Amino acid sequence: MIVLTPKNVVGNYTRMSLNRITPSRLEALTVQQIEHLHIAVDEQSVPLGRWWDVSEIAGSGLRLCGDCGRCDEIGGGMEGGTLHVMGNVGEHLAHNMRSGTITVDGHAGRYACSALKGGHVEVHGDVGEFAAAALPGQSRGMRGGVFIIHGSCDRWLAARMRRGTVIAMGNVADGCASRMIAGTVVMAAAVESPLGVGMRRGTLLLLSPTPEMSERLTPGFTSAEECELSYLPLLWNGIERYLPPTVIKAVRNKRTYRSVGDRAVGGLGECIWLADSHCSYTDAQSLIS
Amino acid sequence: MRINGVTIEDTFAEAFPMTATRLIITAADRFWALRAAESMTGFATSVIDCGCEAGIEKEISPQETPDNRPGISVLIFSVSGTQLEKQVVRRVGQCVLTCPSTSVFAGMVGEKKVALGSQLRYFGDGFQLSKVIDGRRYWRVPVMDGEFVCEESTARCSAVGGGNFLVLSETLNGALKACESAMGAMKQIPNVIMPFPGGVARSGSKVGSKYKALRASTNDAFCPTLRPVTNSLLPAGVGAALEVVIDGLTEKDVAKAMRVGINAACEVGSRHGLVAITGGNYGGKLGPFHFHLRELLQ
Repeated sequence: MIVLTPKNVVGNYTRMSLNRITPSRLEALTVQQIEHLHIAVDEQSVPLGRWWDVSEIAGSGLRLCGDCGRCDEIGGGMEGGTLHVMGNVGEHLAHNMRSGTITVDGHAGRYACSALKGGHVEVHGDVGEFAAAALPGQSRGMRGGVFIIHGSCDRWLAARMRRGTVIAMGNVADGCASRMIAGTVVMAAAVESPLGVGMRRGTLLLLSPTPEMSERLTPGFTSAEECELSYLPLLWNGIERYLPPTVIKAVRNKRTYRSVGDRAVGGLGECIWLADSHCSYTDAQSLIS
Repeated sequence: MRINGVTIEDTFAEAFPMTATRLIITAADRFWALRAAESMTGFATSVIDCGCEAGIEKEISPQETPDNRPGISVLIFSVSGTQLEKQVVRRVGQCVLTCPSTSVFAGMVGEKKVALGSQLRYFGDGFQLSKVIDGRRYWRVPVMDGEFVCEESTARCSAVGGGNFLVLSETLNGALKACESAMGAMKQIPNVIMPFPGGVARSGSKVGSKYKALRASTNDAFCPTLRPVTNSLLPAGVGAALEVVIDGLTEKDVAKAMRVGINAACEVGSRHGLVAITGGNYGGKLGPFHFHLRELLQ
């Protein structure tokens, strides 16, 4: 395993890009060769060894020690292997990653997994704005893979997301799934509305909805109706392994409610809730009263 | 060679190459999964006029199916990938899509694909949704009981069709008993189906006919009523012959099914007048796979 540790050097930098510093690439090189790889620091190309101590220990993969909060594009271009970051990461986590596994012990900055194409990314802390969402000037966000966030998510999670699965364990701020094109977003905690504005297709699965959720859902969504979805067991089998046992236990035997939208743009996206039978998610009763 | 007093003739059974796929049909319960599977594999006894040969391979427990519901595994065999795809789409569209609560999934993986949901999704008239889960694409087609879930495609592989053995008995009743015993044992073998009704054909055929339009015609050499007027291959005392036909994913699977089937037939048949077991030997004209009966049973 290759270990990169930040050097205590004189001087400072604003942003550093670790794009293409991938496990598979580094494992094929010697420590000296790795130190001579060039990285972008404040838009200057400098040898990696100027800012990082490179060492090798038993095992496989790549490990980044320390706080990497100003390091962007970590895991960029990964095509296999494992990357473990023992701290925070900057923006554009897993940029253009196709396969492999990234684990981040800390928080992630903006645009995390925005250009993810495949593989498995897990952030144990919070994520910034536009996670799994389209980059500025791009029409599509995350395009594949699985992105798991244990902390909370800032605004615009999965905006214009194209494909893949996002699992948000913590609270999700407003603007989630705006103009979402396809894919699946699973939200295990509280979600701020509006949700799914301009959503075209895709699935939002809410595991802890509040009874008032339907009142605050985007107006373009249909009234929720209880339904049986044949595909839900498939989805559940696909995500169950990522969810904590408490969440799985909490949703067991709950009923399924579904709302379709955003009809304002002709969308056929769906918002699915797992809830107790006594919760009323339709606005039919309120209309009658 | 004799087993339980039954003669195993020194001959071989011929089989021919086919292409095959496996589908997993699930439903709300076993009853509906079985109805869909039976319907889908109906009228699929012979490629000669059915377009494919199909049958139920086995039942699958909910723990083994993709959506944790009771399932049935079916195998479909045809002469080419194009023909197989045509039959699969038609049969799933007319017999599984229509059956309440069912879903259908690929039962094998491989490079060569057979369209499934990619064709059937159009029934959704624009309301269909696709979903990729664990790298597999599923189509969700809205139907009147909810939604029909269908995997994008299944895979196909080279296979062996027309493996066989003939049961020659003193009486029809004895031949039936032997075949029923063989079927009971062969149904436990994976990767094979016996496509004919009950797994058995009474109208065993020979290649060609005096009529130009027909590719196959009655196997007169094994018809008891034609014994006086044709070059009969029936041993003396034989009053009925039945043919057990086997399609399998590999030559080894067919050989295993034949071995198990012949042994089971001999075990029961010897008490009911079973005289001999022989093979459908067409002089090498039918296909390249030759199953020598005595070698199989050694």
